[in-house]
Amino acid sequence: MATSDEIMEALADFKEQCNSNKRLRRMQRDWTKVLHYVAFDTGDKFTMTVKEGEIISNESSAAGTPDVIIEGESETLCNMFWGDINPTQMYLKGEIKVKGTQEDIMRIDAITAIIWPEV
Amino acid sequence: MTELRRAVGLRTVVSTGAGMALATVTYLSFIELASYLTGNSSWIAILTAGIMAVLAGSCFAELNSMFPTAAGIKLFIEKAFGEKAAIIISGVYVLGQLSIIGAEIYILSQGISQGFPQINPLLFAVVFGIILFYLNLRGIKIAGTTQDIIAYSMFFGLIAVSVYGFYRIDFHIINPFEIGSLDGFIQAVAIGMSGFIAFEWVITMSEEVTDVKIIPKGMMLALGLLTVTYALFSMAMTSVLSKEELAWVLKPEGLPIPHILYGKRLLGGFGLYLMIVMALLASLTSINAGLMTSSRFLYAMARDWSLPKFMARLHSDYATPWVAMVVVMLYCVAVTAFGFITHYILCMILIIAAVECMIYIVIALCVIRLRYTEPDRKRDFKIKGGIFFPVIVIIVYGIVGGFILFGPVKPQDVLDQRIALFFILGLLVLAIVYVFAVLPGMREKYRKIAEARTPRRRRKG
Repeated sequence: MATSDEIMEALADFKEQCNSNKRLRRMQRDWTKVLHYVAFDTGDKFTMTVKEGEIISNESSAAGTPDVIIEGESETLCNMFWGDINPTQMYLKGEIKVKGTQEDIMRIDAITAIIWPEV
Repeated sequence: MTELRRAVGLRTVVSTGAGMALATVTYLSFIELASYLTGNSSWIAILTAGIMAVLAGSCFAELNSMFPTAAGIKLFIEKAFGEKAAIIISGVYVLGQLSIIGAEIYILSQGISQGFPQINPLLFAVVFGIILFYLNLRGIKIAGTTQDIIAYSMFFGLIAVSVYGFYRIDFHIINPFEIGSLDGFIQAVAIGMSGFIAFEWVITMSEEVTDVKIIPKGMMLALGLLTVTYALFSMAMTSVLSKEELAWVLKPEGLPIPHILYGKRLLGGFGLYLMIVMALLASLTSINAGLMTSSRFLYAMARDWSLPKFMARLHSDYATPWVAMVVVMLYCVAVTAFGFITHYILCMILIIAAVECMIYIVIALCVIRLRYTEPDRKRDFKIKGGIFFPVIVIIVYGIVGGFILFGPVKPQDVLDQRIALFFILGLLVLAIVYVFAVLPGMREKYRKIAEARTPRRRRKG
């Protein structure tokens, strides 16, 4: 089980990885969204705000109206943000649940595919 | 539970489910199925196919209420029968369904060329293919309100021209209850099933809806809308067009454009162009969605290490899986070329009908299996009567599927039936060889690459 602080630390690293990747920034330049992450074992909620492909903030609460909601165990979410697991594999196994459009789900997966292609 | 900023409602679920199923090739299917009946009773075959689709739809609905995800079909099969079975069956299903695109583009381009006879239909096919590829590459999907307007306009238009057709013949329909032999009727029902292809893809919207319970409701309403519209339009076409015209559209030397002939007969030049526009909209919505879903399925399989990783490459500007799209488009070009060269269209209709039978049987088996292996998992929708209806689905679709590939057909349809049988067998053999001979080595290679990477997480899991 990962704590809220551990997930926030992972989110901070994820933000750095994403924002420093030029290819990803160009690819996601028209993507402005509010994402909620929910750890269903701990009940912790997190908000990631993306503006024109740049992650501008991470918060340890559910803020605003989300475009996408991603649910999973805290460990799974934490490992996902560190790039240590393949989110598509988790999604196809039903271990990560996503609410949002197919377009947004594809975009989220694209992020990890670009910054961690070997996973 | 927090609600999404933009969530899809029942109206759009219905329009998407019904819109994806309505394709131009459906009109030809109606004439083909009518040729297996002695009276003008295509509505009975379509109604039967529609009721069967509702039964199959209820199986999808139960599984979707257990695993509400776009990963749907592969996940259902994997949970019930393991990953290898899931890859084989979903691979045959997706590739088999894509075969419809060959028939669709061929029929569409032949129809358009009736309005613009100075231009070669092949040119329309090429232009249409390029437009579809561009839309997919840009990730432009016809959805939401646009989808609603297009889909409901098409259904309203089809019902209106059907009623007008009945009015023109003073509502005089010859032998509307005469179906002829049982063999012919079963074959007619089997062909009629191709009109409902892809309605189940509505489950890919599970993650976009306001409430996941509207998926089964929307699915059933879409099937109802399709059944009523199809029954009316097929009856109108077969009543208004002459026997000679109906026979001509089914011949290899004829043109598979009954809807165009019908529009022209009823409304002259206006009817011709009206039907061209409606066919264009039907093809655009169904093929665009089909191509997008298929290419994203391949992408997800590649990301899951079930296909080579290069198929998960993304376009640098649009974040779309361009390699998977190219693969899907090449496949579609091959089946379209087959249509233009051979003029064998019925075989493609039979392929998709047989593949649909296969997937409905598998889904019903999944329902039964999961009732025993995961009895306590929450189901927002559960088919009443225990396993009775899933068993009925298996039996009925087993019979129909057997008829499609092995049943008695008209002499001129025998070759189409053989092509369909060997095509499906070929897909199945390829999928099995791939899963047992190629996949394990490929997975092992990817696993080693991933394990060689030091985990980035700074704490011990």
